[in-house]
Amino acid sequence: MSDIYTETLNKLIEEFAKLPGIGPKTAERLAFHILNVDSASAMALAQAINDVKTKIHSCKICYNFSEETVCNICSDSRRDQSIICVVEHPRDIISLEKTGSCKWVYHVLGGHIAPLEEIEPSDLTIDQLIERVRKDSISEIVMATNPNIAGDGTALYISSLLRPMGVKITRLARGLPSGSTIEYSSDKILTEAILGRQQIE
Amino acid sequence: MLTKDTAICIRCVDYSETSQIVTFFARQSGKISAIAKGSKRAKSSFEGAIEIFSFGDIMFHASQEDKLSTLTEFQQKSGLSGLSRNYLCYNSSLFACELVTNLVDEHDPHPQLFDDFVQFLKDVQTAASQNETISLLIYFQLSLLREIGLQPVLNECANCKNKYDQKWFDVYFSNSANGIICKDCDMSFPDKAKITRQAAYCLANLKNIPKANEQTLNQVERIIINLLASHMQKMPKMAKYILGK
Ligand SMILES: [Zn+2]
Ligand SMILES: [Zn+2]
Repeated sequence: MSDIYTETLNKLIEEFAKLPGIGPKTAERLAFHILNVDSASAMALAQAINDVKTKIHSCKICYNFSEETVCNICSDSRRDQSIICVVEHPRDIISLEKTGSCKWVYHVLGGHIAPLEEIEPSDLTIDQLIERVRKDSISEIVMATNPNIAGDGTALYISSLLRPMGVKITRLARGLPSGSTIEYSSDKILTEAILGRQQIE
Repeated sequence: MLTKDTAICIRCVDYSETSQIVTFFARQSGKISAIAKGSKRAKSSFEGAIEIFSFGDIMFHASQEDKLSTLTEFQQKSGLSGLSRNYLCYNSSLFACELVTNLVDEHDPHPQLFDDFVQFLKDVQTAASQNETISLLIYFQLSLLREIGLQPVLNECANCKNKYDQKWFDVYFSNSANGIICKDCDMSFPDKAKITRQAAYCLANLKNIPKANEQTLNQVERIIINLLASHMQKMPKMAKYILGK
């Protein structure tokens, strides 16, 4: 902490420096920017931060971010409410929705199970998902947890609970990314592509 | 010093937005922790993010004891991508990982245990049944205890050395004795617990484990888990996932 700045300016630099991807130099630059812009612009940022922290809650159905009790996606009647896509975080919904190919609804788990790190099923919204499947007429659960060990383990646990309920369970495909080449693909990706090969229509 | 080794990741935590701290169990170097700079970038020098069970040839700058090494290369091999094939296989693999993490000391090489660990992970992916998965896990746990010098005594009374006989009516297991205990010796071991004759038979004749029924396998696994817990001085986190399957 530098004593060439005033205490309040130091505080602002400190706060900026806590943000991901922001080093001390950038934090300094941002703080000076705030100091130099007109009051309205600076306060708009403060207000925006205040708003996201006070107005955004989780949707009571899917646990996505929402400003209403029920989020825009859950209340969208054009969507197929019988297909639930299960994701780890709200940011995953944003990525999936950007594709424009999803006409389903979601369920946000709030992370993944990691028994060795002491993140247990009860730390996530798994019970709430099971309850949704029990109460509503759900035809398919699409597992869109991350394609890694932790995401797969979480999907396995959830499937073990859903299987007796007779609902169809799928997961997103994995393997070769379109536009890539076999030559430059890693062993791991190739193995998955080999195992997950599909019939050409 | 730049060191080359074959290794498997047994723990991985995020260090920054782009880097990870990886604990490897390496064949020649033993358990080491290394920083993998930039491993989370899409184009990393390690073929993508590293996670638990990532396996292959590593190159690292070894540092002095209790300092982080620096990972410079990681050529990942395929072959362990089926661990999340089913829930028991997944949990058993994590259990094996937890045991290696907790019971093997840093920089203490165990090439045989490394080979057994990798073989266990390869085999468990193709186990045809729950019983086979548990059998493989039991074998791995026993080989781990052997390799770290804690092999339990299973075919004779750990106290009086009387050879185990299938006709023994009462058989006990004591963690402090590190083995089975006959009925003449049980009074000397307050921590002993009575075990079933079937479980005792399996422990004394390890070859028969794959033929045991589910109930007996669970009894054997429970005995071994309690023994491992006594060595770890805490119940392994994965125990409940295996026993409560
Ligand atoms: Zn919602
Ligand atoms: Zn005895």
